[in-house]
Amino acid sequence: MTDLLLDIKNLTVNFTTDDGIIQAVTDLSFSVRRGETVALVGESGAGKSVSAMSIPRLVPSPPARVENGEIRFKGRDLLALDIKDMRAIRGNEIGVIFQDPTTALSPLHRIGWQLKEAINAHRQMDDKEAQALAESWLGKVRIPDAKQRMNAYPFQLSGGMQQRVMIAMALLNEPDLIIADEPTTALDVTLQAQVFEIIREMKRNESAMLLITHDMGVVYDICDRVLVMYASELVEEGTTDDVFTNPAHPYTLGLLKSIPSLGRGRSERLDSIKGQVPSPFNYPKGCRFNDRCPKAFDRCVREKPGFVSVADGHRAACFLLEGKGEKS
Amino acid sequence: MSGSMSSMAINNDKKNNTPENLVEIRNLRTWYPIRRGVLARTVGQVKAVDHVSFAIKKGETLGLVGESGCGKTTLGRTLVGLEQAQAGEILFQGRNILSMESKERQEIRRRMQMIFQDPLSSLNPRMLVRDIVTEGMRAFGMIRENQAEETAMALLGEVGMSKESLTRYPHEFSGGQCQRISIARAVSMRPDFMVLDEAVSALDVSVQAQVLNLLMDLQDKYGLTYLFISHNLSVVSHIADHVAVMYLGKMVEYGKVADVIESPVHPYTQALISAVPVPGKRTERIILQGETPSAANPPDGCPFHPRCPECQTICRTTVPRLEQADDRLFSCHMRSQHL
Repeated sequence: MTDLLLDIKNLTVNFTTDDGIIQAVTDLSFSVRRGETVALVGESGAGKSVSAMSIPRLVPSPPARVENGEIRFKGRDLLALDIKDMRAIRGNEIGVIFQDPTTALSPLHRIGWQLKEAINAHRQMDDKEAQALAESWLGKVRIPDAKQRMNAYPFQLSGGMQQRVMIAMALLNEPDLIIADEPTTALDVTLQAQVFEIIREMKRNESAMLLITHDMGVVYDICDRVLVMYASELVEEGTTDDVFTNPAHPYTLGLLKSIPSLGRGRSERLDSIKGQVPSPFNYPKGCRFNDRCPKAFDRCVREKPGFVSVADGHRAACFLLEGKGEKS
Repeated sequence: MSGSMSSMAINNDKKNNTPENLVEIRNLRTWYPIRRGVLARTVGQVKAVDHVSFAIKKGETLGLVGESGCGKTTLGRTLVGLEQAQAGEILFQGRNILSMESKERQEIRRRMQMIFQDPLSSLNPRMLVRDIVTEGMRAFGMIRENQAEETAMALLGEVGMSKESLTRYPHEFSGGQCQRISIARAVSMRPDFMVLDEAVSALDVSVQAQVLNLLMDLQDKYGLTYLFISHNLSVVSHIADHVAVMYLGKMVEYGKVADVIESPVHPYTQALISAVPVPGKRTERIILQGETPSAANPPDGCPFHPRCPECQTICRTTVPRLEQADDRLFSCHMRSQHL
């Protein structure tokens, strides 16, 4: 496949803490092709942020340690690069939109300065050109009075505007891969709609986006494919339509059923998943979902299920699928 | 979760009689003065809640939705007495609590409880769960000290937690469990009315569903009346009977949940609902330009006019009145029948 952009194989990341070892990502494999928007979904602590931030190597180490695996981006293993080569990729070939713009932007520098810094880190440009480029990007993300706003400090902008500055900063070097970590979680829904419209407009056809979110509505709306994580592992992967209409893993099914639907009026109880997410210090043996799964049987407690392919590009890790598809 | 059988019976009872209004607010105003200079002169007002009126029938849930800064939390806090109202009335069973003597007010406080958004910070980190859930009852002399253990155990059972939790501290629990403890604490006072301020917003969806189920079970079991404040329209449409939409301190639309969600009247409600991404449905969005103006300096005329796709001259100059059509309330010149 020539359009393969990112290929992650058997990635395992652990955190060493005083209380023991946290298994943040276990044996994760997936790939992203050019042009795709892929969602990484799961509940808090499922390992989605650590998985995504491991790609540009932005997970602080220590305490984190990549125990195993490789991350191939445009054919190069990012984990093997030295820090200088990695820096040349970060912010240039891989752009990151962080969740909280108030902490991701420097409070001490003007917006324009910060945008120009991102440009100058990767391109040879005189100040005038950089200024013009930064300004044009502020316009592209629909910040009014871009020229004046270049001189503003982040605290002078609203949360929605700060997030748009972040988007401009992540995209102005036209990266091949955009990693967006819950880019609208801190925003109101009308602003969320604005921000996603901007991201959609700005994303070039040849670039790909990995969107981390817990909002299944957003996933359905803008993503081509979905990766579902539970307890630091990938449990299901498929096209958005496949996963939403035919969820294969009991966790995905439970997750979709827990979402209250808009507009039915006061309704019956929701089908919730019982219990709570297990502690990452001590995941259950076998299938990590076994203590909450309504369909668990003795094998789930003893063995870890492998992936079974249920449709083209749609696979899930559950014993119940054996015989319904091919092992992969 | 216990008690679903008995809850059904009570639920039916409730629906047979025409319920009265338990809580009603009339022209409620909560303004914060902006003070400047050495003399702290008042130079303006932040109109957090500006002339809002609505009623909630006994046993029903009113959903209060709107975006950050629209005044929904202030309204909820004013209702339970955590903020001071400047003007207007809050009627509880027909009596204005703002003009009550403090002693009488005390009893009303017991009957109106509040659940806050952040489950961990609303529990005292230095108190055991047993003491947290029984503190109110002890303060009101509802139980004796030697009954605390037993009562606490019953309360925790009610919210689906084990008795091992009794002698633990809040930090030992997950967000969903802390929210259950908060609910147990509120329910312990045998309230009639509860203000739930973004009570499930901090929780993951699977846990959110559990807590929503718990809240609905308790409501059926005890005939509770809820004001459910949330920015999440899907959650509100699931739990509420009626919904009020706020924008910049004002209520812009009110009606039955299914009606408002399916056929919103006000342009803001229309944009708000179209902006909610729904699994299984890809729709055209109405993208609003710009952001909510500051409540300290609201625009003239209709507060929504700078962002409204249908704005006309009258919207810039005249504040629209709240009008009624069938059982729907809305304030918009463009939808008015009096033009």
